[in-house]
Amino acid sequence: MSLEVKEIFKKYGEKTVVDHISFTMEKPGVYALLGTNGAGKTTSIRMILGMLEKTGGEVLFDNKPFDTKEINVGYLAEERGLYPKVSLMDQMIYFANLKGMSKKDAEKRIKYWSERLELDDYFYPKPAPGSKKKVKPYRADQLSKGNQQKVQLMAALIADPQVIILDEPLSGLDPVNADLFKNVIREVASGDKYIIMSSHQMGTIEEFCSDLTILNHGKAVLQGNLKEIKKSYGRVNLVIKADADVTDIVKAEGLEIKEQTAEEIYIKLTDESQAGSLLAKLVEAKIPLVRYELTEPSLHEIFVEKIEQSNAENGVTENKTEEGSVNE
Amino acid sequence: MNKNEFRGLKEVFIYTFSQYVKTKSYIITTIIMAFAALVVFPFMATFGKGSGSETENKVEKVYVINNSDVKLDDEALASSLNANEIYEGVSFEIYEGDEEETESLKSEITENSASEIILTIERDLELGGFTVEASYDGDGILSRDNVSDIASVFADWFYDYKTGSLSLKDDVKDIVTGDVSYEIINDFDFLNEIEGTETEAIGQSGFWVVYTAIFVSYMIIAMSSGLISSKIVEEKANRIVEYLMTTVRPMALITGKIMAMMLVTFINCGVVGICAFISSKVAKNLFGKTGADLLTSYVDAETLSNISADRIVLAIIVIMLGIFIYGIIAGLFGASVSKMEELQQGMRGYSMLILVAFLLSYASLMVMQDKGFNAFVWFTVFFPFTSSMVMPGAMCLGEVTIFGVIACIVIQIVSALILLWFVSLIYEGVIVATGEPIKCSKMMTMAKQKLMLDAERRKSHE
Repeated sequence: MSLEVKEIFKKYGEKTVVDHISFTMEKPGVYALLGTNGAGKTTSIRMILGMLEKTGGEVLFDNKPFDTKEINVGYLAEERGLYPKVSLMDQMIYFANLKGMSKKDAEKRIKYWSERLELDDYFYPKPAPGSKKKVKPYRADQLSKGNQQKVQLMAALIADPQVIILDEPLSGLDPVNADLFKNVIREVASGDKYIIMSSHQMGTIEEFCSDLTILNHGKAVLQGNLKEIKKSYGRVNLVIKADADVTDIVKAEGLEIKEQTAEEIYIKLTDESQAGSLLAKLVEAKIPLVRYELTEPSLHEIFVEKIEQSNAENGVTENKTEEGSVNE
Repeated sequence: MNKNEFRGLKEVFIYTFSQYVKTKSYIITTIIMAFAALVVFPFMATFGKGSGSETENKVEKVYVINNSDVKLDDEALASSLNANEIYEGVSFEIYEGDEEETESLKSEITENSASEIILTIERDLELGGFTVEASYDGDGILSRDNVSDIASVFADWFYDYKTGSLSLKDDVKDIVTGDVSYEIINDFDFLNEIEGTETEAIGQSGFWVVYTAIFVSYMIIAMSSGLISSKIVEEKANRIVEYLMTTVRPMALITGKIMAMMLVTFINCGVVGICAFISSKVAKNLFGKTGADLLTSYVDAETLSNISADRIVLAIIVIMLGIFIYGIIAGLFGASVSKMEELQQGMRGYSMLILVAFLLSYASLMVMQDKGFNAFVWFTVFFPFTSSMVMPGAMCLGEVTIFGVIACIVIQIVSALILLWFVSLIYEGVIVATGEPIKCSKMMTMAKQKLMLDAERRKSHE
């Protein structure tokens, strides 16, 4: 079974907001959809889910049209999406009913997931010790943002979906809950699930995703297997830590110093062989080296480089971004 | 538009209905309405016009100051009015009097007895005819209704007496006393079949029946539609709609809510109806008067006879279809905004529509009162945006036959289906759109684009 997105595009009048995006998940796994704000990720996700009508293209699952009413799909939206004044139990049962689950089955799954996501105090509130007064069920507006996010994840997973789409699943979570989420996603991903994840957190993407598409202004600017993409870039990031100043030697080699702190120098190479040549010069100059490390570029670097390249080609300027976030 | 467009309808309907009936506001409102319906007839029997405490005749003596040019016979007056068992013991005294005598009589009444009244009859030189002026001690035991009733009876007696006093033959008398009325006959056979009765201006009772029907149905429709739109905006503002649309079709989201509101209205009408029935039974057992008996003090018997159980059910159906029609429109306008704060702005088009419909219905009522059921009134009876307000009242007046009601219901259903079709073209795009509220012109453009896209797709398939 494969999930195929074939040449989907969306136009509003003359404006194309998503321009012929295609990718395929040949087997269950995690696929990343990356892009700057306004790149077309959410629009693409909505078209895949059938929430938004496509101007063209198609989405197939097991060679049949991808219909969320026929296929069990779980969706975690980027924004919080819960009824604020309705009890958590009532709305979770409603969401489960919409997926075709009976009330009994829904209650079993709610029990499981509320314990798994550490939400059982909200779904099954207990009276204070010594008090016999029945505690009213919690409503969504009584929960913190992070807990609401967990409830939404529960809604996405309640019916044990085959295809799961997570739009910024970790945004707004504290480190403890972020780890909880990651463990759940890891657990779910280890089953036969097709997961499409969109995120701005490159570290998270690198942890989970094997394949990715980077969007910019509605177009795919980079696509493929993450390992192979990184391999194609080669190991071009060099970190040097030494007990002497090596700046002059580095500059003499014609190399670009990306960043310099009190202790380390980060150098961007154009070719791996430059690392060997520089090392020889440093050894010759008897520089006491503490660290000399050659690494592949991070996904963040690849992303930023690709976006800048794409913008330059299209004559668009964008602000530089910091590590770990894009245009936040 | 096909069946698939409404997938998830049942779940949305059940959820919306169950959540709404659990709310405090609904429970309290229903209890208040049920309580009001339960006590209405016993209350009317105790304190109302039909209670007997005020309409029971308390007038014991009537002084008649005759300033007309017709000689009155006090024996004829007494024998005629005393024949009515309500006025059996009332005595009459006629004075061919003047102003001085009237004032002297008035002071005698306030000093002596509060159960006496003065009726002064005189020629109305300006308008022609005669006027009867009734004077009584407002601080006494007599109510305005007591005095009004006996003055009315006296006026009727005087009308017959004056023509009788001319010693006219019966056929001449008929010519002299006969009313002159007019009617307009048109060529619309359809309307002639549906009318069922001759057109004539509705009376005071009819006015209040239609007024109440218009007002009640307007309130029900406005409140229900308002709730539908606010529920839709709530889902959109809280981004729940994005999750829902992975499982439910957009049309199911709106129609499920509308149908839930219709059921709520039906249940409320049922609760009020059952409580009113119990109330009528209680009034019968405690006071010997049913609800219908008590209502005859406010509504004439002929109008009351038209308000049967089957007509009430049909009226409820018409109102519910009105909820459906306005619910679709309110739902569409509600979905055009993304935040609760923008709801009022987004609902301007809907608010204008329902207000104009209400004003048209009210204008129709004015025309009914003045001229009866003319073309304009029939238009409002059948026009889908006003029929839910005007038809129930028209039915209660007996002006519409069963075929007319069925025709109205068919028109409403067809209109609802047309609206549903139009909304289905654009609702998917409207419900997921964020940002500025979507204007009507933009919705029309979206509909046009969708039709063109569908046509292109059909062509490419062929």
